[in-house]
Amino acid sequence: MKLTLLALLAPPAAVLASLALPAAAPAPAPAADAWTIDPVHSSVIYKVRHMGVSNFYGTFKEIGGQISMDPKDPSKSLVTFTIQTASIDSRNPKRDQDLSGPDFFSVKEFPTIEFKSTSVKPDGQDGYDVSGKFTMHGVTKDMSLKVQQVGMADGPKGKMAGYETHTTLKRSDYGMDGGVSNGMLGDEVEVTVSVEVHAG
Amino acid sequence: MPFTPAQFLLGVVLPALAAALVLLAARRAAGGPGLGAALAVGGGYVLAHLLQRGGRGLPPREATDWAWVAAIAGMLAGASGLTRRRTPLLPLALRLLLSGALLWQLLAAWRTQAEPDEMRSVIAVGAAVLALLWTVVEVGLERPGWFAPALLAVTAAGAAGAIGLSGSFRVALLAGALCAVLCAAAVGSALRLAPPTLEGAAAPAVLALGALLTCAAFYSELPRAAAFLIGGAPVAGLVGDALLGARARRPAVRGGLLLLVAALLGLAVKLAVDASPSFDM
Repeated sequence: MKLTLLALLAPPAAVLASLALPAAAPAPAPAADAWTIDPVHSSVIYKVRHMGVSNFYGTFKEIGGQISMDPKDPSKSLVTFTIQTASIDSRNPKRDQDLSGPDFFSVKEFPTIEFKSTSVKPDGQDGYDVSGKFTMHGVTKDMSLKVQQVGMADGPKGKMAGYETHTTLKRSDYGMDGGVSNGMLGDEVEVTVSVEVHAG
Repeated sequence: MPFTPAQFLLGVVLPALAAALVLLAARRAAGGPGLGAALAVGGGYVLAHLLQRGGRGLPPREATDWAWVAAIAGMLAGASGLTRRRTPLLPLALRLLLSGALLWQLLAAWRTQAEPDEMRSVIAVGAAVLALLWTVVEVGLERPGWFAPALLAVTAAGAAGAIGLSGSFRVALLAGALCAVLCAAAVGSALRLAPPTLEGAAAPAVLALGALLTCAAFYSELPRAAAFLIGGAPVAGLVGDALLGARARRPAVRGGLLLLVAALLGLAVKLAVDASPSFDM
């Protein structure tokens, strides 16, 4: 069953009328058009090559943001998320210190990684093509994300949904090239952002 | 993060050789006092910075990249001789102005989070300390000989060690490059291959070192006490040298002063080690 984020955020009657969804849809669309990222149940995971021989995985522990959908004009929909760079966690305090310093994220200079969408389009089964501006290490570049809806349900505090996206970026494009030239760390970093959002 | 031999040759050895050649040429060529030294030390550091990190655009986006701009400003100040005028007001004002402007730029990101009073205090005190260091180093470099440039080289080496232990190998490598350039000046002085006095080197050396220490103290984990100790080390050595007068020329006395400076730098490194997480994996 195709259930777009646009439709989910519209009033139930409008959803049914416009998409002819079956009445037994497991997650009726919420009336609200604003969703907030639940940081406790959201994850940001990165993967980077170490010395050309292994893949290292680490996380950022703090992410926040909002999704706001315009049912009538999807181009006016907005997806924003912010990752706190100081929340980087590589499971080693000394390495975290290095990653937080001027060689890498310089978290005191650049405390956040931000994404702000400029367009949101439905893309296949429960998927969205979200384009926007991605800012990291003080550099802003266009980025296109394939976002997949993981699920949607009525939770104890109201409507909730989950979305996930995977992307690969070259950190040297953002002026963060520590460890690249000597082969210690890969330039390409695979990033997974998985968020749980709550209506309202 | 270790560096490769190519990075070391390009980013450290080559700039030091370039500085040595400039000093050698300056000894033979006519020029104002300090011009050759300013070009050698300032230009050597700028070359090292650009070879290690690239230009990365102007104005610099990252605080660390203000260090090469600071070295250029210092090079111009050192070459112009404006800070060595007999009237005290202009040199003092210029030192304070350049030091304050540098700190203002370096701390742009920190300023957005700091309380206004704290921000004003830090920049005022920092500019005063940097201007004092500049003054003492410049007076020290007006005396012929290897001692003052050697003290500065040792100081830059200590800074590299402390910064490297505080979460930034790349800033440490820049301090290492400054050390190499100052070593070239010290060796050139000792072998009489450089101009007799190197007072023009004070501005680029102090502003570049100040920029690197400020970045490490505010954007990495170098304890501020360690940064002050590193800045204070050459002051202790040079003031001691001036106070002891002719006696300071005895090898034992100079060795003692160098040991004093090394002890202060060692204490700074210990503070950096104590403040840094364990290497244990």
